[in-house]
Amino acid sequence: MFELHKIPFKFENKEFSLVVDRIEGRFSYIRECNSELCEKNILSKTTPKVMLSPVEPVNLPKKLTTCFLIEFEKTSIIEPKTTKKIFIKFPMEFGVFIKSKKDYEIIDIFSPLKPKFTLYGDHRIGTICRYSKSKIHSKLPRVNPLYEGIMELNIINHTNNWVEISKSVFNACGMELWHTDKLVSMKATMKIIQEKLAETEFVNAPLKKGMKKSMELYTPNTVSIFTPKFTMSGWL
Amino acid sequence: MVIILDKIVYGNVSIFNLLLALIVVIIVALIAKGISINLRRALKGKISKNHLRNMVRLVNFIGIIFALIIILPIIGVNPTGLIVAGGIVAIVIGLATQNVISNLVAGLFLMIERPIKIGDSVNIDGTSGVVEDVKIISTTIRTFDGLYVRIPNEHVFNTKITNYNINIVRRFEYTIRIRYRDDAEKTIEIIKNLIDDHSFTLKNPAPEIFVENLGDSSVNINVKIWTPTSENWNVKTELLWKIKKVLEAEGIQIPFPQREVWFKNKPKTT
Repeated sequence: MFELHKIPFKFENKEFSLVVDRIEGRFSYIRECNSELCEKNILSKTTPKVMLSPVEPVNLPKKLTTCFLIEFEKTSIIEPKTTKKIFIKFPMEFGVFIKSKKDYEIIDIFSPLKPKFTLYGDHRIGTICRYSKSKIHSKLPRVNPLYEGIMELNIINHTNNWVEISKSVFNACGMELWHTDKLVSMKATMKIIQEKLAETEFVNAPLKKGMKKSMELYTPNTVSIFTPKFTMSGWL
Repeated sequence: MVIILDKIVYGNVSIFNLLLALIVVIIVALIAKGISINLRRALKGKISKNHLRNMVRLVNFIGIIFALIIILPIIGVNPTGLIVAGGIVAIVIGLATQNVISNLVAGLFLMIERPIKIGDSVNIDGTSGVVEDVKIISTTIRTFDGLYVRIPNEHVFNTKITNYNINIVRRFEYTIRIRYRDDAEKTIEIIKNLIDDHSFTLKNPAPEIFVENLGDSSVNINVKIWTPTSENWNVKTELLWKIKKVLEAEGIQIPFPQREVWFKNKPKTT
């Protein structure tokens, strides 16, 4: 599913359908998902290839934010000076890319799920985030990769107190998605620095061997050995 | 070396004096350059490029004046006469341009305080519109029906400013009226589901839906919804009619104004 395909290309399941076909001197792209139809013409000198790839889940229905927030179904309390690994789910968005010669170009983004947004922080200086809710799992749960992916989150409590956490906020810049046909995943850490202060960051590593790296829409602006972090302040 | 520096060039001015004057000019030029760079960084995007360029020129001009004031005595020019003449000119100009200067000062304070910036939707003393330009002396607004309004900065600075864009989230509210015989709890549930289904109504702060009051002709339900500021208008204009249609589909109606009439004497019926 998530690989480079030659045109004509057709993919169909009960969630969505994609058709890329040659019509006269151009290429036609048609996508249907949740009764929403997207049709585009691709005007290209050479015959491009098409790729479907998971992308950062912060694009729909429009680019409001690069942050997303996962609220835990139940509030958790973590022991002082402890590192705990949990698994949580995140919503899926898919990007359709065309490849002509060397470059990839995004032509469509869609998702079978309806997006929702929330405010993290203050009304003035807070952050609008893409919202999602998830149970906390101790082991890798089963998911339908067309709806949800899995995040392995390492929570590290650097403080000397028990800390209550109910959510985690991430910056899509620096997000590293990995996929197989059955699983889309990412890894991240949440470092609790103080009772009301934490930092989240992505880890560039797949959850399982053999996973391929997904296309990235959001990359850090500057060349840096450090991945962008999100600082959660005031509300954990 | 000292002998060369002490060599008189003209009047009482030695080579040392000239070198000192040159050093002063270089230092003042570097300071002016530093101020210009920081000014550009601080105001980029907040005012137009033309005005930013003019401000930078003003800073450089002030730097030149400052340098001249310092080096004139060093190079043997007595500035006393110039200062007296300059003082008189300054008084005359000051009196003639009081309003302009107060607008200019207000403009500088507005740039420091930044209650508004280009592109913001604002209401300044009853004039609503989009800020097109924040100049040094005046602020230009394009009203929502396309009119050009120029407001002197002194007025902008001293009046109440409402900025609709400055916060990242905004709230709007509706009052939904239903008949007394309709189920208010069911109505609230329907409205809540409709709001939850919309992508741009925020999860937090959560929407509030409650029976606000029992009116003369209807039960009045208040609906308060938070959205990202950029989507506030679109959601507000879209959602009300959807609520009406969904309620009607569920048999819940918006009542017309009603009165109960009691007759003092029961009418005879045949």
